[in-house]
Amino acid sequence: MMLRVAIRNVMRHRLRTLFTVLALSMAIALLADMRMLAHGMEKTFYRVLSSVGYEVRVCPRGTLPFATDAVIDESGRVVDALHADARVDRTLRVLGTTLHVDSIPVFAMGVDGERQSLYAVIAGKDLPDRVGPDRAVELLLNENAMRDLHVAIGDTLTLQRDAPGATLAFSRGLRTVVTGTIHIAFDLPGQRTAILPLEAVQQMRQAGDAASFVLVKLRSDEGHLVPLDEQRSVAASLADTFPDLSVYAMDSLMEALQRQLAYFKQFALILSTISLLVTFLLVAVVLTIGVGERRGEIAALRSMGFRRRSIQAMILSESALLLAMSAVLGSVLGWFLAGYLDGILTQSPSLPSGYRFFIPAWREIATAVAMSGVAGILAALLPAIQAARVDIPRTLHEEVV
Amino acid sequence: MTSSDILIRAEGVGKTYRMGSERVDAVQDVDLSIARGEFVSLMGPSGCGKTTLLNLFGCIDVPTTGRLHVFGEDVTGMTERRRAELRLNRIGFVFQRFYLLPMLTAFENVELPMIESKTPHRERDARARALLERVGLAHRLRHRPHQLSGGEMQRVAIARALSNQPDLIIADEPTGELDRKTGASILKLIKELQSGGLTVVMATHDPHAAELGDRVVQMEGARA
Amino acid sequence: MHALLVLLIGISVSGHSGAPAPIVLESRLGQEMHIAAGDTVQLRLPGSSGEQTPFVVSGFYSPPPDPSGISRTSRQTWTPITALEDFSGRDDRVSRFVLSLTPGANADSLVQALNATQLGFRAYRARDVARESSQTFVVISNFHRAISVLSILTGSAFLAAIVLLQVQELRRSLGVLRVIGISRRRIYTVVVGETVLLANAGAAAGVGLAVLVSRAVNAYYRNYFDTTLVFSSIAGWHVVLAFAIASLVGVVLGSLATTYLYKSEINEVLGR
Repeated sequence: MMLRVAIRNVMRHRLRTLFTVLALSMAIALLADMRMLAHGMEKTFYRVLSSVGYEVRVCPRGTLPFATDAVIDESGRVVDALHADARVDRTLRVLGTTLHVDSIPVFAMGVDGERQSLYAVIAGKDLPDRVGPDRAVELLLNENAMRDLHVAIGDTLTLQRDAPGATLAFSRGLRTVVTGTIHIAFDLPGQRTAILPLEAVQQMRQAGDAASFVLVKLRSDEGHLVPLDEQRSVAASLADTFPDLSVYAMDSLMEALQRQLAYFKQFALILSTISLLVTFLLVAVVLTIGVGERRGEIAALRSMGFRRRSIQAMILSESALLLAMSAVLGSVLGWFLAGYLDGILTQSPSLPSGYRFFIPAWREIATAVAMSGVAGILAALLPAIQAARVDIPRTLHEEVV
Repeated sequence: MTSSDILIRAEGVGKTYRMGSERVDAVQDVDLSIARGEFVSLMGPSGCGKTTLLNLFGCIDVPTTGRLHVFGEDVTGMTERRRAELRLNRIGFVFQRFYLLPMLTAFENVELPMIESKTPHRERDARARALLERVGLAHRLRHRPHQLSGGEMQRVAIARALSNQPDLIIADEPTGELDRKTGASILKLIKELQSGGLTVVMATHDPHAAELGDRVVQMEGARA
Repeated sequence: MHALLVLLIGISVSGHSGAPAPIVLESRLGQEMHIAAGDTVQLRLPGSSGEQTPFVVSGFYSPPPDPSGISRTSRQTWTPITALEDFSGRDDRVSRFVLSLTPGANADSLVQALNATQLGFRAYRARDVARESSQTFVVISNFHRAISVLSILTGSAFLAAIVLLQVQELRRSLGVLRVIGISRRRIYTVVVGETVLLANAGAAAGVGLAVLVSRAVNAYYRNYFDTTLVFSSIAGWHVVLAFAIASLVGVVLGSLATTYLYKSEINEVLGR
């Protein structure tokens, strides 16, 4: 019944309740979205890392994969040393550089390794294990490159180290044949990507036996990623083996990402705090004034023998009701708003196309609702206590006057 | 009169309030006994302490001096929890301004104290209907207070006061907001309650209303 | 500190001799690694196991605040281009030329002319490069705008709820004014005046709070990112907007409340 009284009290001032619920819904939606913002990027990054399928990355000291032009000079020796470790299942060397087809730049990655999972061949066939001496070099392109270069599987392409011009006279170019279309999870929007055999890219770059980084798959029972603890332990021992290189387990890369996303995390933290503050203040103000308006009724209920606990329960129920209504609207709003905000942020040119800032997730919405619920109930405590402690004779006297 | 016949016993009861730095003696040195089944009218001008004395008798407040026994229990040192129990289960209140909850129907207003006292659903439903029928409002069960006249609202308030089958009815100016004719019908209803065995203590400044009581206690200057 | 990545930027300075080449370090790098002017630092190319090359620290500099480098963990240094060529083993190769034009020269026609010569590079106007590199910030700015619209809506709904509470508290007094024959216009003025005043008081408190939060945000992020960038600034139009929205909410709700008051039965308004 106290719930019924609470419902009727809340519905007594419909317009007031409407605006309160609207404001609370938006605060809840904002909180939910800020939670999604804080976790969405990590989740997609982890998903992409997992889909690539290598637990450890070996990079030039102090660099992250493709963060600079720095390379590992004698990458073959590094790979040999890696394979000497029984915990290493397989490795993939990657050397990145920008090549040109006519004046169109293409990001080329030379790869050298067995059973790779860096990219997925969606049409045609994968690169052969070895480059034939007299054959054209085989080449895989992503869909952007296929489209922009107007080529199909089986076509030939000549890749230049530099854009066409005077220097072209001194550069013979690399004749390639397109053998397949690929998808790479971390491509930037619109980026044209080509995959070639490592030695072809090394020749184009005149980079000897260099690699930008080496991906390492650790040995596991069914080819799954090994647990993080094991990744960390292998990465630590490999770091001892290669003091001039940086070795990252997946969680180290996640930490590096979190540093990059510090701004968004802080932004999310500030807005989350403001959202909770808005929820707290709004519930506190609405209920305090509501209790003030109904002091006479509350005093009458108390005079009839209603316990303080019942009065408190009534006020807390009102807060819970406002929050419950707002939670429904806020959840829906938060869900759609996350998609809208994600659409804005994923237009960033420096963001890989598979990445998301906001991943609509019921878990985050539920957490936001729970946090707002706690803020709302805390905000209702003071008016509830005030209502329960109303001075009955004085209030009844004042009400009559 | 044996001690078991006495429902309220006040001995030198006084109540003092503080209004800022000022001390207000609302009730002073009241000696009064009210027997079970008695109808006592408290008469006196505004501000003479009638409401304060009713609040003390109704266990809403506690005296600052003297001793007060209600249902044989000493109210002076009684906890708020115990006083609330007594108010809920043994005392019914009728206020000048009705104090019905505006968002509840007449039926729900009557039902409310029974919910607090955890009366089973079926029983409270039957009792609320019977009480509203008894006060002549069987046709107004689903009406909200603002849809009722002043007299009807006070009838609902009386039904609500009776909902937990109290022994004592405290009525504070129950006709104060009503016209003479409606007031007379309410007083008749209250008198009928006494006939049913209830003890009634009613504060009024209307001599005609006060005459309904078995005894009229005149109050003046905070003294009875 | 060993994890710091040092980006070497070659600058064209003539007169390089066999002595260690001079190098200018980003001041943060000097502080972090306790390097003083005149010290000799040994550098090696990342990932190489080759010999180290000595450079003499000739000074320090602070890069201008750059939002795009906000989360940069690498440190920059400057050294003569010939020294960088010797160090990197790459001869006569530059990343880009930067041209300063004579006063009055037409940058667009020069860019067109350079791109038509097919010299093996592309020329851009500085503003086009800036526009391209600021694309990320345009996106973030759009994001901030969306969040601010949401915040404004939340704040307006909050304000509306508070103003309504105020109006409902006034209801009975206004009912009395109505009964004693005060004109509708005067009651409207009283109600709207009160709601506008209340809403603007809220806006004033909000602006005050925003100034404090803005200062705290700037202090925190400047310290966090070790920069002099301004992260949050409250422009005059923000303040005007806050008061404009408050006044609008006050007027709309005050008018609504007055209309509602006149539509209600007088007895209901007076609680009879």
